[in-house]
Amino acid sequence: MERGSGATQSGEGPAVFEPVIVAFLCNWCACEGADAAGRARLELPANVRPVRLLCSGRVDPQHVLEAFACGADGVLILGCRPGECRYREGNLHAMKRVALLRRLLGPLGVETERLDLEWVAAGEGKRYAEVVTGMVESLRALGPLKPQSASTHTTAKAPDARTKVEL
Amino acid sequence: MCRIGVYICECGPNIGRTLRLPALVQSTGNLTGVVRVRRVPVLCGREGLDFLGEEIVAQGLDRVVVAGCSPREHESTFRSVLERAGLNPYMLQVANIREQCEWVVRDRDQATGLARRLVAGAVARVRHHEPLLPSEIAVSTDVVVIGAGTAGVRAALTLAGKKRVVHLVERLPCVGGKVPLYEDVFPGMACAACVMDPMLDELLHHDGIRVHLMSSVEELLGFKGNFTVRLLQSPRYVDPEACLGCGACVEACPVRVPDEWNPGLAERRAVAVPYPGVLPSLAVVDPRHCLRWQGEDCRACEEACPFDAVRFEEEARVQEIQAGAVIVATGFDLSDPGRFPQYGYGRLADVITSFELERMLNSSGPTGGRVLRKDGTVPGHAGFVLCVGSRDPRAAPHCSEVCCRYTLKFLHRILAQGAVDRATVFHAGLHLPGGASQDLYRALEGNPSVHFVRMGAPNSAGILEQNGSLAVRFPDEEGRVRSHLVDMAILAPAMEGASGNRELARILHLETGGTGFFDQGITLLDRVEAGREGVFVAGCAAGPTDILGAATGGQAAAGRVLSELVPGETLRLEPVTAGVDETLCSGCAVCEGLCPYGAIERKDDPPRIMVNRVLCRGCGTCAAACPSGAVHCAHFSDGQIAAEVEAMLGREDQGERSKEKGSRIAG
Repeated sequence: MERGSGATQSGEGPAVFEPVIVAFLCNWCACEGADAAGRARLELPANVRPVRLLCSGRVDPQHVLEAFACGADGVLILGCRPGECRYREGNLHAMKRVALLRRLLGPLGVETERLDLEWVAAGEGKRYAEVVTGMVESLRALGPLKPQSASTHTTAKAPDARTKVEL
Repeated sequence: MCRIGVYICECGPNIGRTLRLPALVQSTGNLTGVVRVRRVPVLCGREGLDFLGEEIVAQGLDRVVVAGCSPREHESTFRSVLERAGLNPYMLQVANIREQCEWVVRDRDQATGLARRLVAGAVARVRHHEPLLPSEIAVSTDVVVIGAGTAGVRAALTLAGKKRVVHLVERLPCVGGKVPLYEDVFPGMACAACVMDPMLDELLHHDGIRVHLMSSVEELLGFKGNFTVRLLQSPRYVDPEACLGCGACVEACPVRVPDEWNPGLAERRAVAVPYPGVLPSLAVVDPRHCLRWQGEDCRACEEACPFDAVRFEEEARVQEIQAGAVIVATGFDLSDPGRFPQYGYGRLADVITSFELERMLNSSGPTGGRVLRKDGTVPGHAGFVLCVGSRDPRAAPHCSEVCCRYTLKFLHRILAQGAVDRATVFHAGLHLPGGASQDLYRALEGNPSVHFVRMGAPNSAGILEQNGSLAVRFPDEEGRVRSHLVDMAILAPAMEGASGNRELARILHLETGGTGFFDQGITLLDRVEAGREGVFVAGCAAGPTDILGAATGGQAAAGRVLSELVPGETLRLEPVTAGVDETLCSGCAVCEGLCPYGAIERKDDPPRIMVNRVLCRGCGTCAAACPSGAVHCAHFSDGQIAAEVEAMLGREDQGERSKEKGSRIAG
């Protein structure tokens, strides 16, 4: 069965680790930026799983933890540039939450590079492509998210989260 | 059990060149809840839409997934199809396999794998969709307009033209704002009174407009369509029905105080008709200076009035008004140049502001239209100093928009009437937008009496007294200090938000920017957005603009009100908003401070919060912050987001397990 994490590319040569990234996209900027990348036929890695939300401020830290628990190797939150949030400062709330989450993820054994927040404006198809490609490349280098903890996660409930701490 | 139909659009030749559609159809058919998978050549075309509608009915579908282009293209189109076919429009999810898959992934296997995950995510999500219904509320279509300057009056007349009841609230005892105090207005050198008076007459005689003078908004309760506005009206101590503005009372008044309408130029009495030509033409008693409020029993004005119009017994009045919308048109004030001591304003007699010159040039003003120094002599050489505070990050970072143009106006006026022999303009780059302003400038080119001198930077000049003249000193563009002697210096102070704006912002729950303007809601496509539903901002209240800009802003704000609040129509509330599960809410109110729209209110007994659906715009930052999962977000619920994420990560095929609460770790 296709798994989120640890998939490798088949074919000639050495197998390359292909990370899976969940990207939470603001409807008003990053979603449009991603579409702009598509309209421009830019080449993007197939590793990104986009989730459309009305605002990056909607991303609950729990959504991020669930994504990791379900096998994501990285989580990307893409919002409007500061000062351009459709809802004034949802993007800034997202920034604070990401800062806190990264501090929590470190001790849990999740490298902080696995969670990133970037600003992508509606017209910035090229920037969208650069951001997602850059993250895919850095996660390829980093490797899968702790195979032992990721593989023991069959569900994403609280006991599992505690197990991860004990590990 | 769900009955989900998945429709894969081929988008003509656009989808399927890279994606292997047969494989996508096959894997989609195995997803939980899917009863139907079809490929359609062009789903957004007439035939495709008809087909989709027929399928929903024929297959008895209760949910639909469309895999095709971006939801930003056709989500609303497909929602309409669902609605026509008897399904709630929110039972749809769109998987973007075109822009975010077909068009960007080159490898066929990888693209097909990604598309499978995108469709699986959409199917898992749509299983958690719930029907959402817009709700409707009755609204008042009356409007409160705050400020009776150019913007407020244009707004009021535009609204009244469509039979809206308008309450025009003005803190001064007269209407018209600042423009009636000028002699001419740029760019056409039109007579200010000729422009304004007919409009103000129409205003004061309009049946649909109630003008509340000497009034201020003390409280704003409620929300769009249902505001309650509390007004406080100060007493005029003069009966407007009886007074004709003849001025007999003014002659009799023994008190003399500086005249705010002619700063530094004239005195007025404690009872006054504000300025010649004022509308409405009525006297007003100033209790800050009238002897009766200093404990004396003076009745000079009362005795002098031929119409028995004086009413010392009058008291302040409070009234409540129901309204559907509020337009803020409070205009601007000129900043005090005394803030920058280097200009010598207030210390050097013949350093004046542009407003003082406006009053001098006004033919019915304190000097009868003559430009005079403080000693009564005529200045030979006038210096105009621009950007006094403007464009300086330490003072007013903005360009005040109008100073360069009104300075050209001054030049034309004073040269035409021979008020001065020479004029020099000290500027840091002239801002003269529009053809008419350029004409005004060109007409001065080559005039030997006018000199334009470039300063090195805005707000960089200083003025010193030198042998009975004024020396204007500034570094030029090469940094060399230059000095020019003039007899009178006219400063162009930065415009800033009207002095009452910060207090008004508190009352209206709006924000002002650093220079006191209501400019925080403005976007490139919307200069009247104030940042709160049902409240709009017009004219200089939103930032510096000229008379035409103010008038246009008033009309634009009125237009928004006319299109959003229509008599006989209810207000349709979008269903994608936050809501609260009161059994989970502890009333911690973390969300309250985060809401950018003031849509969340904390209640007691028991402590809990409530979401006002009129004000909520559905961003969901409250739901993201709620520590107990009590705040939920319609159509973007935790369960829906978690289901989509899990399925896209390949967790969807693990059989049916309860996702009613998603996979919330704490839930």
